[in-house]
Amino acid sequence: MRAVSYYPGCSLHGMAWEYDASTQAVCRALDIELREVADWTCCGASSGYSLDRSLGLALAARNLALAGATGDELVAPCAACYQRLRIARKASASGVTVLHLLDLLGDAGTLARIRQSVQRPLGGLKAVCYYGCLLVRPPDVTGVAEYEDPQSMDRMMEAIGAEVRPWSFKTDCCGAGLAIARPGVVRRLSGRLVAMAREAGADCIVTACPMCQANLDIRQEAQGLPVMYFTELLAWAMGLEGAGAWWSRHMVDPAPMLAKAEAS
Amino acid sequence: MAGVIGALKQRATAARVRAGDRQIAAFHQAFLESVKARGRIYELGLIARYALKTRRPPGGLRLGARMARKGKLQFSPGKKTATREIRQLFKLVKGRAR
Repeated sequence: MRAVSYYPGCSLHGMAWEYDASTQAVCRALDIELREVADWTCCGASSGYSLDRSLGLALAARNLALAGATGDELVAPCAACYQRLRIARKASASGVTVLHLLDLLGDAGTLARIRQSVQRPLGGLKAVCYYGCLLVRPPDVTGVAEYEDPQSMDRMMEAIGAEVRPWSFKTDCCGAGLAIARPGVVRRLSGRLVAMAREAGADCIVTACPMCQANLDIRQEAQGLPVMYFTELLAWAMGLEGAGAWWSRHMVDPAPMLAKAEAS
Repeated sequence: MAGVIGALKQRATAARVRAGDRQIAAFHQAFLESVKARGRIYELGLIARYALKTRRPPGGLRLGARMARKGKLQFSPGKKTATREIRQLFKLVKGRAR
């Protein structure tokens, strides 16, 4: 069994509860123990960084220091938390390695185990993978070599049988950071991404960030394109208990899409 | 590019330059005040704090109602986390900036 420190971040204890639940379910099934950092606090997100660099670093670094007590590796499922923690790690003397969930589950050995665990192959599912702007850039912080055309989520979707459609919007911004202050701007940005995903022939958009998922899911008017966390699709394909219960929390119901994918 | 924009925002805030877009600046301030008050972000609390700061009723009420029906909004803030430590951290950073 592999054990890692776990930093869920504020969203996974709020609006993105299903991302937390699906993360926990998939890790449990893959024999990965997530040790939640005791007394973790907000990483400061974009607001800390925007207003005060030192405060932004200090808020994230506090969690790094706490994580050291539970292990050498710290996993964050939220792209924004992940980036803030990586930046704090780079600026500090912390010995903790910060991973995104895609890093934790995306190595060749774990991918092979995911492939072997598939109970419901999603061969009929056409997906586009959306990484957003914080997960892979800047490369000197994330260490991602393929930051123009990231592949880690694509490989994971292929492991569960989905057909990953090529598209040019993997790392375009959805505007989530302005969701409250400038909703009009965000509607345009997210609407364009949904339209382009449709044009790419996708049945759904797959994300690895609570802000991106919420932003793309809740702002759709009539497009009806499901927006999934990659962990939800992993859990569903692996036949894990409780997976279907998360669909009711989506604004666009993914159940018909999944039924169609299984039938084909 | 993002780093340059970030640095400019930080310098402008430190120099108390009036923000070109006051709503965005108000959101960031409300966010950090929420962190200081609770340790973690409570989403509805943040929206309320932002509305007070901008003196405008929260927008997107219809969307909010739809999200509430889907169970996306938490109506209880839960317990505060390490707030004494977080307040000290804010104080320490502010002290160093002087």
